[in-house]
Amino acid sequence: MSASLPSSSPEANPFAGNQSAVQRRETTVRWLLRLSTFFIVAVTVAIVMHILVKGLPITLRSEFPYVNVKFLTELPGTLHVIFDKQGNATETDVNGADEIKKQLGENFREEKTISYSGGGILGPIVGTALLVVVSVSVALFLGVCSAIYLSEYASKGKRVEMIRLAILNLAGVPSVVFGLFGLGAFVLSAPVLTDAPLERSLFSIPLGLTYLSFQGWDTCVLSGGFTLAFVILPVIITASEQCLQAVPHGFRETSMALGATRWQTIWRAVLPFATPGILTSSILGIARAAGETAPIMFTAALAFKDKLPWQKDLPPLPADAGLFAHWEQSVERFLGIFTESVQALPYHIYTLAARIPHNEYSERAQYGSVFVFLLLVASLAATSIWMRRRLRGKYKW
Amino acid sequence: MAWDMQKLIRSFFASNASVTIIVLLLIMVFLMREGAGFLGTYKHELEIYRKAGLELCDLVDRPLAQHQDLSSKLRRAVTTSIDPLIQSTRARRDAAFYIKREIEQSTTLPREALTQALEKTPALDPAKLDQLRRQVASETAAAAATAAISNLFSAEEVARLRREMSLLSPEVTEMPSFLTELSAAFRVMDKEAKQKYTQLIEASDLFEEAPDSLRAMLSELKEDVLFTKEAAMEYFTLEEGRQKLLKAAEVATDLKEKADLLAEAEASKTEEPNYQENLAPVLERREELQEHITQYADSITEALKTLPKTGDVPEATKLLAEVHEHMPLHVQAMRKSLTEIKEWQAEKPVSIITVVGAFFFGSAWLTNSSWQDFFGFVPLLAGSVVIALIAIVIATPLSVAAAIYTNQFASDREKEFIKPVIEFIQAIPSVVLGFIGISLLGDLIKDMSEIPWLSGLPGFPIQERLNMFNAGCLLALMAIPTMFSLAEDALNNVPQAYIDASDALGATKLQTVFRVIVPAALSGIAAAVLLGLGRVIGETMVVLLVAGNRIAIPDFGVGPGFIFQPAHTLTGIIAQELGEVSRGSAHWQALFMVGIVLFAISLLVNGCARAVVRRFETPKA
Amino acid sequence: MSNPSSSPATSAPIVEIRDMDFSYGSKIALHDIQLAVERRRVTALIGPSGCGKSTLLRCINRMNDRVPSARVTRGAVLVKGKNIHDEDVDLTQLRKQVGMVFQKSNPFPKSIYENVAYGLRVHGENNVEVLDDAVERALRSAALWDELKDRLQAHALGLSGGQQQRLCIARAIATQPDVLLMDEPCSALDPIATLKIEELIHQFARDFSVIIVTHNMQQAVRVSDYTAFLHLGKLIEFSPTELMFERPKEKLTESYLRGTFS
Repeated sequence: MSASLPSSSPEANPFAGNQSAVQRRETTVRWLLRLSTFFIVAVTVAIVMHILVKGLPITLRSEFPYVNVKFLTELPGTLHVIFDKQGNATETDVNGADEIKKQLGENFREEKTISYSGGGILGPIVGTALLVVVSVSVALFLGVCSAIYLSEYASKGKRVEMIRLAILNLAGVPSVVFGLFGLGAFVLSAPVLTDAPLERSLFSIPLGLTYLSFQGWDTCVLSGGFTLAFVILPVIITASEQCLQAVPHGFRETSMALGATRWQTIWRAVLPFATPGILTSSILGIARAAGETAPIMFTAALAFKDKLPWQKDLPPLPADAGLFAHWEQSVERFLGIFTESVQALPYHIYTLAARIPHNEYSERAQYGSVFVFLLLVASLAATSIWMRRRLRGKYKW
Repeated sequence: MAWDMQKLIRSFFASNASVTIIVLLLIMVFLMREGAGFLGTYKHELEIYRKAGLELCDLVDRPLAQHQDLSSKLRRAVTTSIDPLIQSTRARRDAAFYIKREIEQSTTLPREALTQALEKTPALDPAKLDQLRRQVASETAAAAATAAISNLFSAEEVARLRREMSLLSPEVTEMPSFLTELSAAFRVMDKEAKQKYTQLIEASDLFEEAPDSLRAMLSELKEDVLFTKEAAMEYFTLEEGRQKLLKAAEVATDLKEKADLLAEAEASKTEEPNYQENLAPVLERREELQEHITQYADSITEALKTLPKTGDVPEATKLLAEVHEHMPLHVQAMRKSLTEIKEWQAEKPVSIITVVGAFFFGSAWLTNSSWQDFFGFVPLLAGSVVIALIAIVIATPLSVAAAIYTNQFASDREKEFIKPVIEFIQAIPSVVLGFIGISLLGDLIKDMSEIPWLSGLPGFPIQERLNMFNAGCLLALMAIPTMFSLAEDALNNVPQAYIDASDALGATKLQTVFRVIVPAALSGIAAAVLLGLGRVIGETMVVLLVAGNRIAIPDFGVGPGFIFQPAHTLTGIIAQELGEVSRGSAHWQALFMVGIVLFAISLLVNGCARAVVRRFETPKA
Repeated sequence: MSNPSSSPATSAPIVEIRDMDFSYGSKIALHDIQLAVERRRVTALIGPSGCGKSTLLRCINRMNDRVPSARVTRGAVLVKGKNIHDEDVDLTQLRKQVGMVFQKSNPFPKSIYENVAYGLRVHGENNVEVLDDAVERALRSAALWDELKDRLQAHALGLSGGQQQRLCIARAIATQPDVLLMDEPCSALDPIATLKIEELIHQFARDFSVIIVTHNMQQAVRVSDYTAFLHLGKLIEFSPTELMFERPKEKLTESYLRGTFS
């Protein structure tokens, strides 16, 4: 306030209050609240730092190419550790073990084997990628179509109410129940074309040369991917609908006023503006799908596999095989990728953490896998969060 | 035509939207399809359990199980009584042996080399052997000189220890004299101590031996009835195969194939065991069994009379009081089994209500047992509920406080930081959190529980690294983002007009927050807590990895410390066991039943959350 | 520009605004305001939309403090002779003595009783008898007692719009303020409810000073003793209501009152 003004004498202050006591209480409570908040933040940061500190030395190298290439490009295997009589330890895989033992000869003292802890984690990474591709494709298709219906076509009514209720409830279903569902539905009952229906087939429909038999897809990428798709479906629908709703109503009215049909309006005046948002939130779906373990336990994941999905043993082609035969085999090889069970990162971590005894060697494999896994999932989530913030700034109608 | 096209497009999208409803229904259908047969299968199993006579044995066996618990209490009473007398001598002996082991371990390599060299035939060059011996001697001496020796020993004794230990070698088989002396001293002490508590020890021994004859007889009976049961199981397996063969034969077109199948079916035909005939000898021995039980009951009642009522240490007194309290109940239970045995009938049919009760109220989940599988749901439910409650109790105050702070007090810069971090928690995969529980949090809690000045807390120091509390903490972290963002939304939705009115009346910020904003957002916060609960109960990987996987109802009798016990959960049991059971077995169906219950719980929690929001929604102003 | 000294001054004014400039960031909202509000009188603030009358009203109980960039850049606001921006002014005490009623009724989602008692409770009054007494007095003053005395525990949001607004008035006067600020209290109400509130305002002038913002000139005539006319953040004219409506001094006032304002 300007000092030139007459100020009333302090004893005549009609608005004096016991400020210090009140202030003290206010500050205490405010600090308590702040403390709780930052406790959550600190715990999160501590967990991430712990994994970082333990995982970085395993995945990074001090000299070129600065990453542990072996860890990222090899399949998991059993680790053999061979001790000589001087107490030196040599780590090797199953093939190297015999040779080293022979070399050591007299000097060989003992050999330890640690399951799943040798080699790298390429198999699980590839498996998770495949599962994510299948699940996100399915979920994105179904999710975006559902969102278009809910946002653009549906009017208030029983049907929409029921769909919304179903979405809410689906979001609350425990992931392990999705696993049971996937096992019952995709692994044991989904339809396949086959010449000889299995005994367990629900029923089979003869189609001339072959049968459409409801006997399931067995544990494979397809089963796991579809199961995961339904796990993330509610997330995708909700996010997509929000993005569609965010497109201003005026766009639609303008388009309709120009004589466009409903579909033309959606296709030209709504979807183009909603797509960036939908894709952004689908990244979050990817992170979620990659992170789930329980749904793929019985539908797709294997604890151990010594081949990549496309390294399937197919009968060798005769030397004079034509182009068609080659093509046919390539197609078979490609389709084979999806009908094989795979290793997946989360399941691999579960195996390492719960199924084998702990020691320094298994710990290394654990932290390495956890670090890579967290890095993948977290960077996806961070990208999504960051892009959403940017989009929010960019699209302000 | 164009109109038709539009209609087609519309119904295409509509059908896609209906997928969620269909999936929800399909989940129900497939869970039912795999799980609904459970009651029938379990009923059949329980029928065999009864007809073969296993139930009869369990009538005795079950109350007898308390004997284990009671006798272990007595044993503990004995050891805690003796302990103060022998503690110091034992500690000295153990410490000395520990030093010996340490030194031997640190010199493993030369010791092994020497041992192997000595075993060689033909014998190695003595010079070489000498060199190896020197190596062992020098390393052992070095180790003995530097070994850390506890302060239980006087300076003189330390010197002696080091001297004797430095002479350790694989060739010397006899104990260093100091160790022998320490052992002897301990034996003397132990004997003296035991003499002081003769009465207690005798009573304890008496009690421990009391059921021996009963057990012996019971195990004979068990063998008999198990034989019948296994025969029955085999019959049913073969019969099932035979039915399949017959069915295949019916549809087979090729005559020869048909004949083959029929022949095979004929070959696998067996008889169902005659339960009555098999059970007859067992039933004949019923009276003998009753005699044994009476004898046992009498003898432990006798033993109880001689058992002192108090011990010299409080722990022992407490244990003795417990034994004195529980023993009569045990005797009573044993005597009750007498009448039960008498009234027991193998032919009594198993009603479906019994089966439903055995599942929903059964207190044992016992699988892959050589005796009888039981699928009781209570231990799993108890584990799930306790863990979920721990998680909610931790997560609710934290996330609500964080939501209030972020929404009402935080500066924009703080918000920019807090919100993404909490959002990020959601992206941490549950298996990673479970791994953190195994590798970090478990040890952290255990180490903390061993800090002396915290030992007053209930349950401290804890026994198991992996327990319900550990899992609860991690689940709390998982529930926080859900609860935080829903609670923050609820706070955000409180109309500004309320805040204006409160401010204008001279309320402080805190008063406005806690008297107006929070009450107005309460329904939203309650729904947030409920949805957090739903998430926590349905979570699988964390509990599977961290909860400890002990299938037992938590022992609530130990006070609040029970949260540090391990447990198993509804979700964990499915994840752990489903991979290892064959389709269609009772175990498989039981796991799907658990899935059905979980599904129902999730629907229920969701419904409650919606109801809460609707019920307490403030009328529109 | 009216000369503040021309306004009749019998005793020390309860609210006095001296040469005040008020701005939102770099945007000046009120400029050089001089106003002295008399005790136990009704003062109306009128003027076209956006002229700053609500802002001026909110200056008196410092409700503008919440807007981050808003502040008084020159001059002072004195209530009961005390500069309300002084360091030793406790904002909660100020607001206890300067009550406010908003444009839209905003009862808390609590019971009727708790709404009225709220102001007393936040100022530390927990004695049930005192609270009962104060609630009854406030409700009587707001002419609600007879309607509501049997359902004090009923939810406040179940009342009609007019009742809700009167409840808000009861809530504001329960702490027995010296000044009551009313920000277009009738704008959302029907004529009958408006009439009831206008009657209340008349009665209030016996006990406290009322400052009312209104866009309805007839209302200003009906309820107020003095009227201040604001235009584009400036106080154009301030004089007894009758005088202003009969013989406005300023051209601007005249054209506004006649409705020929452009």
